[in-house]
Amino acid sequence: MNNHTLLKIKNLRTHFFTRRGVVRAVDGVSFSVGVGEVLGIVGESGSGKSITCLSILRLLPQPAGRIIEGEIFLNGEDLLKKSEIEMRRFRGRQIAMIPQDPMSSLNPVFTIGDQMAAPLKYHLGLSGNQVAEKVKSLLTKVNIPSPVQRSKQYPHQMSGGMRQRILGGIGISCDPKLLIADEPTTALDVISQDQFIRLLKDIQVERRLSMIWVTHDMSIVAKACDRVVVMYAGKIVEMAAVETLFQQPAHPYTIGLMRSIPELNDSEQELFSIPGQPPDLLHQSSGCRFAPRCPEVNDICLEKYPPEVAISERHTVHCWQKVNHGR
Amino acid sequence: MQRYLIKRLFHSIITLFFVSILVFVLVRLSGDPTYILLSQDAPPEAREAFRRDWGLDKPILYQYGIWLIKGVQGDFGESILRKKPALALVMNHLWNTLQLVLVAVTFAVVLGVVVGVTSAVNPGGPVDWIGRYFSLLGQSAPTFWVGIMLMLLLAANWNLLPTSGKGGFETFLMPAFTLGWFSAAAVLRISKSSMLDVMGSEYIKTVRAMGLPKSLVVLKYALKNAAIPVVTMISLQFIALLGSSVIVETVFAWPGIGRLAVEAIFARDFPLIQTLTLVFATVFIIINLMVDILYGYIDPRIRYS
Amino acid sequence: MVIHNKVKSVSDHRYQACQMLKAAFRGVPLGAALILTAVVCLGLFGSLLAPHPPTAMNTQAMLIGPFSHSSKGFHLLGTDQLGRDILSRIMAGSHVSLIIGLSAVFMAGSIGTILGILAGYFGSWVDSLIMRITDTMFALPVLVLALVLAAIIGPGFSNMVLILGLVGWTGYARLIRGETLRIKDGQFVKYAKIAGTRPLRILLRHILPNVMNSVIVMATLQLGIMIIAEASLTFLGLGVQPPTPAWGSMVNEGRMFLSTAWWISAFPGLAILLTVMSVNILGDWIRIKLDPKFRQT
Repeated sequence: MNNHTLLKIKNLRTHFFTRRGVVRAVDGVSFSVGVGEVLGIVGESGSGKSITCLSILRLLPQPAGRIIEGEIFLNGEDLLKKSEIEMRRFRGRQIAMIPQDPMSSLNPVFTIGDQMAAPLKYHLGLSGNQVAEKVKSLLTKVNIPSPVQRSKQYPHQMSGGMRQRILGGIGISCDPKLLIADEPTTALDVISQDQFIRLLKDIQVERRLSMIWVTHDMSIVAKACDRVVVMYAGKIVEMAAVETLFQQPAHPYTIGLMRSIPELNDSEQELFSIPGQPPDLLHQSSGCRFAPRCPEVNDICLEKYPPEVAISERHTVHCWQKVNHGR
Repeated sequence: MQRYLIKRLFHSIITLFFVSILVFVLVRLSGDPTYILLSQDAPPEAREAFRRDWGLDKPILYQYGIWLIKGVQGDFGESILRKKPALALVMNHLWNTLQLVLVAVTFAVVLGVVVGVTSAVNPGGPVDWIGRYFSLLGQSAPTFWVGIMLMLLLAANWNLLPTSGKGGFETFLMPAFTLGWFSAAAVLRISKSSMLDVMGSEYIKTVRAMGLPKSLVVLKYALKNAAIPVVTMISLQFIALLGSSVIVETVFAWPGIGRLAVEAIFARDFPLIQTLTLVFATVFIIINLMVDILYGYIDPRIRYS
Repeated sequence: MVIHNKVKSVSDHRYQACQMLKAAFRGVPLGAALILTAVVCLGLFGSLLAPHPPTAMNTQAMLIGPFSHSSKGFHLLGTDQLGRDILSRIMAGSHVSLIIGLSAVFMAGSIGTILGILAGYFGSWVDSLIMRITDTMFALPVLVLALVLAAIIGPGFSNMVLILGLVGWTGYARLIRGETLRIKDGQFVKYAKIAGTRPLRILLRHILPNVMNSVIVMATLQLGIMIIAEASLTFLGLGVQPPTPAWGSMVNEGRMFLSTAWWISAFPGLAILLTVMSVNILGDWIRIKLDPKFRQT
């Protein structure tokens, strides 16, 4: 399946320069996404997963957010070396994004059709009837009934699930190579969530789309992804194929995440939550960032950041425990 | 929409009715015009005759009733001071004031929106900095003093512009700037903050993520979203400027309703004051109605039913 | 914005507490604070600090320019048409602007807050009545209304406060009514009602403290406007009457001598400008501190 790499990120560092100090939101992240592959990025709020995605599109909140170093290759072209005008050719056209909150991500004062048409006109140069036809087929594609009428309506006349499907439609409208879905289902009810995941997965398979699927929900990872990156406090702590990660999680944080998934067939089991506070990105020690919350913490964990350890060919982890095991 | 408008119109008439009562009572509390319009040592009989002539000897409710019935027929009485029909007098002056206010509002809106939007799109840029000082000064400088200082510099010292009075376009410049500066500052601030809000919103992020160029994003999408609070502010400023015209017209000897109002109040010219305030209130209501209609056009979420 | 919040939410609480004190005074606009302190001092002790008696005339030294001497001494900002020292009059006049401005804001704020809370809390006809009055007052330009009132109750110091208070409360009433409506439906008010708390106690203990922030924010916006409104009415001759030195009337007196003695009008106006500007700058700063909508990381 993975014969060709589409996206390759090397040692990405994105920092925020605030009045209170430098927030190292993304701090040395490297991963790649193959053609037709779905990569899940998992982590709690503030782990840097959303910022990683915004860095790929170079749409960081200004003026605080800046990419300090790193390389982001899409089909061999380094996006960080592109000018702002060149980047427009990538945004929407090559890399598209489905936002988190469908309720606030559509413009309330323009019709759906108007908003869907804009990228079609700009990137594909379509006009008049072509645009209307394309909008209709996109709306049909994302299961919106009576698409012609709907395209003349405003966002407030639709449900959250519908709006998210429309945003999905906008995302795929210019045939991007990479689709970034930033927690696309958190704002939806359970049924719409399920529908949306299946819809997106169908489109992904049909078009052999590469995807980055950001989530904090391990059950979505299980349903939708091929490979997973686990992030904690701006760093990748573990990376593996989905099955491997579920069968042999190696990092104590990942193990904690696994235990926090509710299991339907086991109602007796108490739900586990990881003790301690989420990390403070302003004040980082030189040691492992998970150390203050880690059940298996050692002296060395507090002093030095653990190196990458390969457990198997495509399963890597950053943890001193595994370093010692390796010896 | 139609039903809404009718409802609004009905409310407006009630508001006007209340305004008329309020003003009628206030004005009659404000003192006896005979002491201002007749000489200090006029005999009591002359005062009585004067009151009888102007109907001021009747009970206040009766006076109001008469005035209301005549007013509905378009007769607002005669100005005691100028001895002319009050409504015609006010209307003559109203146009002068409206001209001045329109020029001032146009100046305030064009400058405020352009600078405000530019500042929001490029925060910290030179336009933003100049705009900040311009609006800070505009919101802090007393109108009458700005007018006098402009007069001192541009008219008295450098002889660039005529000192006062209404004539060609050049006579508009100083009064309109004086009148509009405060409003320009207000419009600037609201356009900037509204635009900043919109530019930081999720839906703008959506179109930016689709690669649309910033100019298109700003001009086509963001402006329409940002317009609603700006439109509200403009309507508020229009009203405020009608009020400040009192000062600017006094400073620049502008023949408008502001100066007429000061004159009428000093002279306790009851019919004129009543007519003036009613006209002020009517203009206010018309502006608000227009703004409401504009809202519906800008924001589809507001559909009157 | 979403990202900012996330970054903020992960920071350590203890650290935040440490920064609170520092943050409380950080970013105070120094220049504005200094000017305002000076104005307040002048308002309290102006007549004592003034180099000349503010109402003392001197026919030997009428209309002399800034930086000049007379038999009575040095006149930094010159003298007016009656030979009175401009600087001394400005210093004495700060009293009028400041006290009237503050009292008017206090009065308008009190009336508006009380009526707003009553309208929001009791609803029905109380609400309709108060809002109808507010609408009616909104339909007239503030200055025109103030003029009419000034004509009725006459000019003068305390009357100015009354007039400005009576025309300035409508904004508070509208804002606080909305806030009260929101708070009234909150859990704690519901529980207080179920517990049988008397309405007056609910209003004072639960609602009033919760709307105070909005009242203060509104008051900071209004203080500058009130100072200018007082000066404007005084300028038109309907406010504080001569010989009491007031900035508005000083500007007006200078109009007659504009081409020969510009300093009579220029300096008092400048004093208003600087005062109101400091009030506005400090107001912005307080607003950012108090209003969660403006708060940033």
